[in-house]
Formats: sequence, structure tokens, C-alpha cells
Amino acid sequence: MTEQGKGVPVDVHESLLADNDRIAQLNRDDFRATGVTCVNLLGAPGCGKTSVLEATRRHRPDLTMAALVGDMLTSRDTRRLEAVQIRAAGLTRECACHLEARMLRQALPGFLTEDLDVLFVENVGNLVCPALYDLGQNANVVALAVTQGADQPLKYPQLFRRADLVLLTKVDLLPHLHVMEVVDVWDSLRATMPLPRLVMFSAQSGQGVDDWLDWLEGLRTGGKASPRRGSPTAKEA
Amino acid sequence: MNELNAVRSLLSKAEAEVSARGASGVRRIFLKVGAASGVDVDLLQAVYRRCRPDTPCHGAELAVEETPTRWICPVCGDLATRPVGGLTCPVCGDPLRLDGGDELILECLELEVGDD
Repeated sequence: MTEQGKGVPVDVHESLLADNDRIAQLNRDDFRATGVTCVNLLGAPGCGKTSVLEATRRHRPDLTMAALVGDMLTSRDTRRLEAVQIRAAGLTRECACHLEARMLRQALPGFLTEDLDVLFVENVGNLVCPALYDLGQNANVVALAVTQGADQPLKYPQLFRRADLVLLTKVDLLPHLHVMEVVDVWDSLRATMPLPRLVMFSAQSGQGVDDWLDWLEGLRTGGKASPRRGSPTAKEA
Repeated sequence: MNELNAVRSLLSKAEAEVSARGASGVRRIFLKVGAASGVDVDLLQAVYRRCRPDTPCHGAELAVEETPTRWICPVCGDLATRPVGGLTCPVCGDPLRLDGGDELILECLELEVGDD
């Protein structure tokens, strides 16, 4: 470095994700203005994210749903969702490890329609990066399959810390898993989620679908505040 | 690739500061990276070195302060870094809650200002 001039320190103190967060806020404003509830669905590859959406459609045919999908190389998930009348589009190009607010923003004009009730974002199957990027969603839901193990929240705390709800998926497999105890999942969630909430879920048997839909309805009707920006104040003056 | 995003954002902010303040370049960049930020510091440095040519940061050192993951006990308020072998409070034994350490913050820039 040349040392001809002088060095002047400048305080910046800004997150490198600040640009993403600004775009996320624009998305959030649009969701509020159109009355659309946006749910960011996160989880590992194969944990059952698409199956959750298919089951949601089967049990709530009255809801208008759309999904933006972080499927890296194929359109398989998109086709599965369209087959059950969920309007869907892929959001990523090859090798993206997470979705960003900008990607969602570009796709929104074709998806935010007056009649839309819920917009799901099926995020990329990755437990690290997707958790760090705010998309403007109303809530983060993490799908955790029973086969992944009870210690996943401890291994990926940054994801579970931001989760508003965990769907413990594929619970119909529990009788076959001798080392998986649901009580251990709860312990892991209590150590990582500010407000632990868990629904035992099976897309195959239908177990827990009603609980999930009740929670979703609460979110839609304003029973829950935005997950990233503070907590609701309990007391009114 | 989170590191590439971080570097792009960093270079863009540095360029904006250089332009706004009429500086001739950047001497040093101070960045705070939390252990739970999802960013690998070695990879970040490598990506930074590849991206900085032809930018105002081409000669700038990237100084990274790594901050540990922080946990807090919701019962007794004890602050702890992640204990080995478990996530329970060393004081009262209750489950700890993640309290921070996922930050990725551009703290400060040292700008090169001409002396004419």
C-alpha cells in the first residue's frame, strides 16, 4: 500500500446483510399490503418439505397457495406442486446454496395476486446459509425429519434460533427408529429456539396435519408477529 | 456461496464510502465475523484477494475479528460461550439459549486520503 496520503478511519458499523434486509423489508411491505402470508420453509434435502406442501393442499383445498422453490437443478418439486394445484416456480440457478430477498423480489410480481392466501418459499436444502437471509417472510418453519437425529438443532443452532415452528416430519417411521427419542428433540429445541414449538407430522398418515394447519391459520389471522423484528408487546396501555 | 456475497457487499460499501468522501483508496478494512455467521474466515480472505483487484480496496488489508458464539441462560442470566459436550448452563444446569455470534459486520474502514 502506498503511504503518500494519510489514513482516515471511518466508522461504518453495518451488517454485510443490510442490503438484503432492506429488500426483505420491501417484500414484507408488499405481503402486508396484499394480505398475503409468506412462510419460509427450511430444512435438509429429503426432509419432506415438498410433501408438507402437498399435504397442506390436500387438507385445505379452499386456500389459494403458491410456492417459490429453491430446487437447484431440476423442476421436479415445481412439477409435484403444480400437480396438486399449487402455483409454483423455481427460484434458483445452479449452485445457489440459499435464497436471498432479491431473488424473491424479482419473482413476486407474477405471484402476488389479490386472491392469494399463502405464499410458501421452499428454500434450498441447506441448514446454514438459508437461515441467515431474511426474505421478508411472516414466519420461518423448519422441517426436521425423524431420521436426521435429535441433535440437529444443536448442530445448526443458527437455523433453529430463527424458527417459529418445527415440523418433526416422517413420524410414522418412529416405531422403526430405536435411537430416536422425541424428548431429546424437545431438549435440543429448548436449547436453541427462543419459543420452542413442535408439531409431530406425517404427510403419509396425516398425523399432525391439523395442528400444522391450526398454526398456519393463527399466522394468517394475525395471531403471530413477524419473526425477525422484535416480539409483540403483551400489554396494551 | 455466502463468502462471495459477503465480499461483494463489502467491496460495494467500501467503494461507496471512497466515493462519498473523495478518498483515493482503502488502506484497511475491519470486519467482525461471528462464529455462527456461516462464513469461513480463511475462505473469506481467499475470495477477498481474488475480488479486490480493480477496486478501491486493491491494496487494502482485510482485518477480521472473530467473535465467539454466545449463549445465555434464560433462568439465571449467565452468559457462556458454548460449553463442550452440552448446551446446559454451567451454573444452574438449565438449557442455554443462543444469544449471538452470527454477526457479519463491516465495523470500520481506513481510507487513503490524498495530502495535496
